[in-house]
Amino acid sequence: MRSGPSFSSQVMERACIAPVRVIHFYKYVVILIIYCETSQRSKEVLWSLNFCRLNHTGMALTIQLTAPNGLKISLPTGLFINNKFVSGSGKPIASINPSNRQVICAVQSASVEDIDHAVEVARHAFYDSSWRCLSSSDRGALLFKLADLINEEKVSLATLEAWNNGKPYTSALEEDLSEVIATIRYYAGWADKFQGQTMTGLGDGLKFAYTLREPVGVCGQIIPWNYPLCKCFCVQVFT
Amino acid sequence: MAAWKLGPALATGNTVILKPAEQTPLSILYLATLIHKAGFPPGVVNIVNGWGAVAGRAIAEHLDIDKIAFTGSTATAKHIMKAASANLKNITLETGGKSPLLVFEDADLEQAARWAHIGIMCNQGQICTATSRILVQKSIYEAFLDRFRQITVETSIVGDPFNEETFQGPQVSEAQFDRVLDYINIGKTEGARVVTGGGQHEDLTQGYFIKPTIFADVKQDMRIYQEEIFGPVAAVVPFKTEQEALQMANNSIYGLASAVFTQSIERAHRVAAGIQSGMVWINSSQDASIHMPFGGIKQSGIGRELGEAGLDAYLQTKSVHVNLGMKI
Repeated sequence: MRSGPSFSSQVMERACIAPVRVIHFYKYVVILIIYCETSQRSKEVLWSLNFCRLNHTGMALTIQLTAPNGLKISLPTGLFINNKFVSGSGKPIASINPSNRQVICAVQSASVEDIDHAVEVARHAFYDSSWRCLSSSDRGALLFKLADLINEEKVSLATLEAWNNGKPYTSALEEDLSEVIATIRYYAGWADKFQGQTMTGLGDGLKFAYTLREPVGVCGQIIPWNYPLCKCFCVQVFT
Repeated sequence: MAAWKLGPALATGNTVILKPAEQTPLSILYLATLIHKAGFPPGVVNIVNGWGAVAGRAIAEHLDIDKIAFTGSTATAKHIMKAASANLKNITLETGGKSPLLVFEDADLEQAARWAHIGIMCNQGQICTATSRILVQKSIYEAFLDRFRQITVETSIVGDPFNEETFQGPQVSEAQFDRVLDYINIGKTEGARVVTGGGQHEDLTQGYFIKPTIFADVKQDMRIYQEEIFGPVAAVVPFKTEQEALQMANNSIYGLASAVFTQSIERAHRVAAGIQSGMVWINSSQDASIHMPFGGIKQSGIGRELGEAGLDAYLQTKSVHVNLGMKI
């Protein structure tokens, strides 16, 4: 059972009441108790039912959003490491809607220690047989599957892109997301089609050589805010 | 850019730690929910939001990361490159640009004006390859400016991103909004002519909305000619000859993209060969293809993304020599 000032301040901000004290029961909050202290002698108790998962800092790992176009989106806020969403120990990031300067929500951020953990996980995964020994065609199949899932979820992805970045929703859906899917499928196709070279007839016939094309290893990728998911080629805009 | 980076990295068998920009953390979080569903083994794809100065730096400096791929400003890329030197990381960078678009007198003027509009006004002008310097041959200069202005006024409807009529939404953040407005003021102070736009959108003050702006009579030594603005702001300049146009186009620290408008096949290919740029569009702008290498030279980056060339960024070559009987 913990109380967290950071969560309190977020509840305070979102609920526009002050001051509050929040008591958590277990990891999953079944009942959120908020009581306002209007004076030293009186208290008001408000009961609210709120099902959400909280991490040790009190920040929700999943939040429910309603976008400007009415779409309801359940969004994780944590760090995606080792196929799980976990809490980050960096300073949270407030995501702003540039159309009206309002905060959409806060997301968790990685500290140096979190990056160390992610690297450790990625290094282990690089050598693990589940990835290392996967056939190149099966690697491609995973990318094709990812592209199909992106296609199924493109409305939610485009909505978040437009809401957070400010680009027109129509462009995000019809251009950016189309390019995301096309790009993933394009590289899915390449997975089993690159290879090295062989050289024969070297050293009076006593030498044979070949090249292997190997993955570099653990890759850090830092992406920009102008095209978070994918750069689109703006031609479709012009009709 | 997540797709441009994840695609080749995963196709070639790497594992990744991807950090979105702190201004736009949301869509990538949703994408992350699909990674496990797709069946990728744990740890192959890791997506971590973070502040650039903390998480970005930690990634660039990390001694157990083998490669860094960065898309962003040239200024930040220089820091990344320095930090990456700690363990001689493999590095690819896709950075800034101030790409020239050349309109010769034999061009289809209507098409040149339309593509020039797309080239700078798409995505709120926030495009690395934006053809933001428009060089127009003197004989068609005013006619081009007039048509470019008309197309901009008619097409660049500024408004709510969720309104279907909107062509241009807000700039992404307060910092970018202030930056673009600063450059608009610099352009006015430097003496460029405002053909349209010229500041904040008066009717949309609730957000970071800027009027699409065209500056004419820009000089090569002006800051709005040399520096990347990253907003819906075009700098239009006249030229006399092909030689002068090439000299003006190459007068830049950047070399990301470029565009040439002419109906002469000889001139098109000749100019394409003479421009210092990683990419050239002949009679278009911004219509690249995922099948072709994408990237710049000079201070616009190192390496290429997309196409087969994009695989090279994530592969290393090992030479294996087999002795078939040589004894010593």
